[in-house]
Amino acid sequence: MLLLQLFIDGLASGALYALTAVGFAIIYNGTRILHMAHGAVFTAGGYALYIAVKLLHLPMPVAVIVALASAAAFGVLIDLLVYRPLRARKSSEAALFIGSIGALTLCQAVFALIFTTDTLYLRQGPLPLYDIGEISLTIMHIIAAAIVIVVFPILHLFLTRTKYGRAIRALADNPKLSVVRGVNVERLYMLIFAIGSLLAGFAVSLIAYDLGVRPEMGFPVMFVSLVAVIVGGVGYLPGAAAGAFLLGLLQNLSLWQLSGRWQDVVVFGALLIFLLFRPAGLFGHMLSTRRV
Amino acid sequence: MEYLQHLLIMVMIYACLTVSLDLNIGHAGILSFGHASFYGIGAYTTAILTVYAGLDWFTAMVLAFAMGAFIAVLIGLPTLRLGGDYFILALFGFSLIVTSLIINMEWLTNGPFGIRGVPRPSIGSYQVQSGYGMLGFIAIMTAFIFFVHWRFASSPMKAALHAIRDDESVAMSLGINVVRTKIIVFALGGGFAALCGAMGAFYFRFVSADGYGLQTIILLWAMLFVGGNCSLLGAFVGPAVLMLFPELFRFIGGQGWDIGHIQEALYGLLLILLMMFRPQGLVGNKVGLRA
Amino acid sequence: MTAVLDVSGISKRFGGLAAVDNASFTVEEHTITSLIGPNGAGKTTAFNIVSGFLKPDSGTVTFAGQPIEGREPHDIYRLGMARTFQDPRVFQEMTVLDNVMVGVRQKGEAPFWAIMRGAKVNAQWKAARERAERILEDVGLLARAKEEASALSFGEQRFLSIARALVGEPRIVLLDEPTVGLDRSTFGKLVELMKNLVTKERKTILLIEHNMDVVMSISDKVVLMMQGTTVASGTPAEVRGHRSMVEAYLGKRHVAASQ
Repeated sequence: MLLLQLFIDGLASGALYALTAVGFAIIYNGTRILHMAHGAVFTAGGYALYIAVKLLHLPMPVAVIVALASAAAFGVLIDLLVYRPLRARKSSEAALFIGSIGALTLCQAVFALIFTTDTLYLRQGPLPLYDIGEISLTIMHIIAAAIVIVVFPILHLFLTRTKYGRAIRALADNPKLSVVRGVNVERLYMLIFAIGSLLAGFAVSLIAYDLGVRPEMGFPVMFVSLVAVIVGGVGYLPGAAAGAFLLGLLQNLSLWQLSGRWQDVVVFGALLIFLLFRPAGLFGHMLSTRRV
Repeated sequence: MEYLQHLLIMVMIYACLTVSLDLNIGHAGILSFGHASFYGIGAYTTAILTVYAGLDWFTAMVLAFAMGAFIAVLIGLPTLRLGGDYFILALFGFSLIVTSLIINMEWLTNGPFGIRGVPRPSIGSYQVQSGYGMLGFIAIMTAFIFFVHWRFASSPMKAALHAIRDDESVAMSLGINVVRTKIIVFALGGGFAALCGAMGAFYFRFVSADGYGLQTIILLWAMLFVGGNCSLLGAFVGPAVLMLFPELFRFIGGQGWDIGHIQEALYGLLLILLMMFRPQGLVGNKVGLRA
Repeated sequence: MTAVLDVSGISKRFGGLAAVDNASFTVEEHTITSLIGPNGAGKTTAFNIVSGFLKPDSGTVTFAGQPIEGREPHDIYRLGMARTFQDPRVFQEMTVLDNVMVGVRQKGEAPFWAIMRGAKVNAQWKAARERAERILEDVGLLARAKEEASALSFGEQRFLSIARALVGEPRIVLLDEPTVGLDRSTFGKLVELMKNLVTKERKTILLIEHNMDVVMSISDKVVLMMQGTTVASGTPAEVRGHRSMVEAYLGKRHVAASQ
């Protein structure tokens, strides 16, 4: 049952994309920054995990917490060092985007200088397989599912039930505000970057453990997430998650008929088709309508 | 001496790419995040037409321009109406697809191995040789491309483009066909980038799939913003600074460090600092990117 | 007098809300027609429909004998209709002169002619410059032609935006609240300018205006809109006495009280 196996694999990679995509979407909705450096945040989390496991010899659960905290801190740091000064200058969205590209390039290069471009592995050998009927699962499938099942409801509760969560949602509705529900927006930005980066941290912990760490590992994942946000519809977090699952499935199911090297074409073909026929995405509203 | 020639040629090719990117980004506000792909399309069109189809260099070069412009129209028609962020993404998606197609369509592109043996240009019986001949050829092409862009920037076309860049609705209200103008200018950008690809193919006599991806896109954007928008001089200064800068490292040494990564780190840092302290670039006009 | 602009039964809904609902009016050549009404009456939406920025759900717009509803704004401009926006929206980083010259459509805009420009293209460009300078003189900004538009005051920017709309020599100009935010002296200059446009330049003006003194003193015709519909139209005196007018500007209670 190749197709069923591919379907399961697609769900697993969809779950990982969903974490980064929802993280990206929280940041994009609140700040309207095309946060390309999200990829660097992702990679930073991976290297943090590597350092914690291989150099500091911390037990795995502690190492993961270190990785999550590092990713969150790194995201906030980029906001503080790059975006905040640009916002203070009232820079255009294009300037913020270029700043973000700069941050991504800088970080990737620095990672390469420190850790070399070789893949650093956290473990050796193949993961044990659990066969259920005709499909086989690895521990990664199970953890990916578990994270999604635990993290997204918590995120939902946070965004709907807490003061800060509601402020984040209000900001997404009107990103021009400077004070939301009594919270200073600059503070809120820090929180937004922390949460968005934390979600990327979950994804990278799994991927780093499974496949190792490379300086440019964050970029493709970040980009698929970005596409997922568009496909799902900007401005609606479950849409980003749905888009991520859709792309994960599409990538893996396409392996049924096409070789793996066509995956980029499949993902971005999907993006172009969506932009052509349904620019608002699966659920969203088009943000940029013509200003009369 | 040979190395200096090589540097000069590279600066000129990148200057031409930058000035064509500036036509899109600086003058028309079209944030083309796929410019490197048109460069690649031009290089491959030239290589395929000369090596496989046996066309002469000039015809191949003209067709490369046409191909770049044609594909720009094809991709621009559905995407140029999208908002800024969507457009950036769509173009980047396009550029990933182009790279992927170049690698995967082996029957046409020879896949990852690239195409060798692109002929040198010749005029009558004179065959342009390496060294000064090639330097002269690239210089003439550069002069031509800069002349054309200078004419654009000193004509009523500039006013129409800037109007679109600054306020599309007002531009429409003043009778400017915004959609058509944007497609035309995007096609020109694609065409001239493809022409640069042809120049590169003639110079290297070899094309391969790497060199048209994200790194090149970022390099081109960095060159444009280092030099500054809407400035012919800036289109030269940006590439010159970014091409010659790394050469300094060869002298002050950086043993054990990978020059390429130091270079990249500096590009990244430079982009951030530029946006913070000098968004108009080193010699650019204040107009252009509203930063 | 013939109607140069005939708006008939236009409607436009946004979501469930009718912004314009079966509105009709005409504008006669060489006159000033004012569109008035409370906020949210649909005046600007009607403007956007007439100038091509919105496509009406139903109804027709006829300009100089041609149906223009649903046509693109740039087409409509080329037929001889220009408009301004509520904000001046001048091109901040262009010079004052360049701002105005953007309004002149010419051959040299096409890339081919931009490269190969010969005598004809250059002559056209020069003519455009001269026309722009003449219009800047009319609005009193010629002395500042070389300055960046961002250096102008708000009132001056408003005049610049009107000059920009006039440079293409339109038959009709649509002005969206041109007097808002002007001080007393510039205000008077603008009223004078509008009068001159009609009497000397033989233009036609369609105006959205809130200042009743201006409306009543310069309009040849006033059209009152309420809740998306045109409810009254006629000379200033006729509309002033109209029952809906009292209702619109003073509220329903006054209508009851005055009866």
